[in-house]
Amino acid sequence: MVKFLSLMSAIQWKKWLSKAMGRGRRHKLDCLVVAPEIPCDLMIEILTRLPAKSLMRFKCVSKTWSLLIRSRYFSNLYLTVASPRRPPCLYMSLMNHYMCDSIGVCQSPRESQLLSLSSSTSNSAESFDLDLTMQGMGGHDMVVLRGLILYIVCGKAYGQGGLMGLGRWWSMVDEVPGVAALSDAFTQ
Amino acid sequence: MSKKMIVLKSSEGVSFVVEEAVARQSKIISFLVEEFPDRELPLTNMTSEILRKTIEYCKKHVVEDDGGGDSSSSSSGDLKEWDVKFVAEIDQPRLMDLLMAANYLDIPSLLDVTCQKVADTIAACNDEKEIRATFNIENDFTEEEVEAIRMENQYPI
Repeated sequence: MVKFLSLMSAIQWKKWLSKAMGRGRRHKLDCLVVAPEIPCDLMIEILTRLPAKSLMRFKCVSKTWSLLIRSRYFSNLYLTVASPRRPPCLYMSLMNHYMCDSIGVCQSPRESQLLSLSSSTSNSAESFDLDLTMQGMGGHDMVVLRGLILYIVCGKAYGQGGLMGLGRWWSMVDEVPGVAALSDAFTQ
Repeated sequence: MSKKMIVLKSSEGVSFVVEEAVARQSKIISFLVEEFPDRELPLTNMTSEILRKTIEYCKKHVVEDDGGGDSSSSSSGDLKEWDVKFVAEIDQPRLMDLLMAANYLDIPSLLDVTCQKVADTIAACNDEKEIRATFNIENDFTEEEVEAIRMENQYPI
């Protein structure tokens, strides 16, 4: 029985292999017309030189590109090798979310509303207040997401102008050793 | 004193005689020269045109490296300008060939310049269709999947 199964799988494998090879050859012939097929390591070299905005826009070029750009390997490479001199930055935004899952990640970004957005320079990112015990906070979560620390605080907030509404602060800090500062989200 | 010359042979069988210092910018040739001295090196996966371009690049860079000395800051600036011009003159398919050649011959500076040029070309594309056409990439996404990815970018971050 085992022998039979292995024989079957060998046949299947051979079939698959010949199919894959046939496809590969045809693909290569197509490529010769415009450009030779670029090996993956070279593609990574090229993509790390792209600005982040272009990478986000061009995720839908192909599945390979999408997988590559989203991979942890590529993100780490992009953050460390490609842009070593980028200063650590803190980005904050207050957003109204209507539909979120249990860890507070919004499932339908279109239904969120951006209320405010701010970013800081390197110097002030290091001196942000770590105290996050604020009045009126419903709760908070921290998610470490590909080189970013995502800190979510939700609840009702009362600012200078009165009721600001039910919001979430998304604070993102580049993961730099020694800079794990999170902001006092609600500046009064 | 006569300089040591090396013979490189392209895929068409055309021989190129270059100075050793020029050819040694390629790490692979540098290695091959030590292993097999006084032999011509066949580069069967490179056409004469690409090999000529690569040698042109190496020649320029070896001259600048030798003569640099104290005026290095100005000459490195000139060299960068020259590099930009060098890749600007090459069309897309040949640029890819040159990129592959730089990768194969292991010439880090040429690889850097060509990769940057390709990245600039990609960044200059208006949409993903243009990229697919330029690099002959097959679209394996369905309309819905593309729409889903576009939705991700709606995030106002």
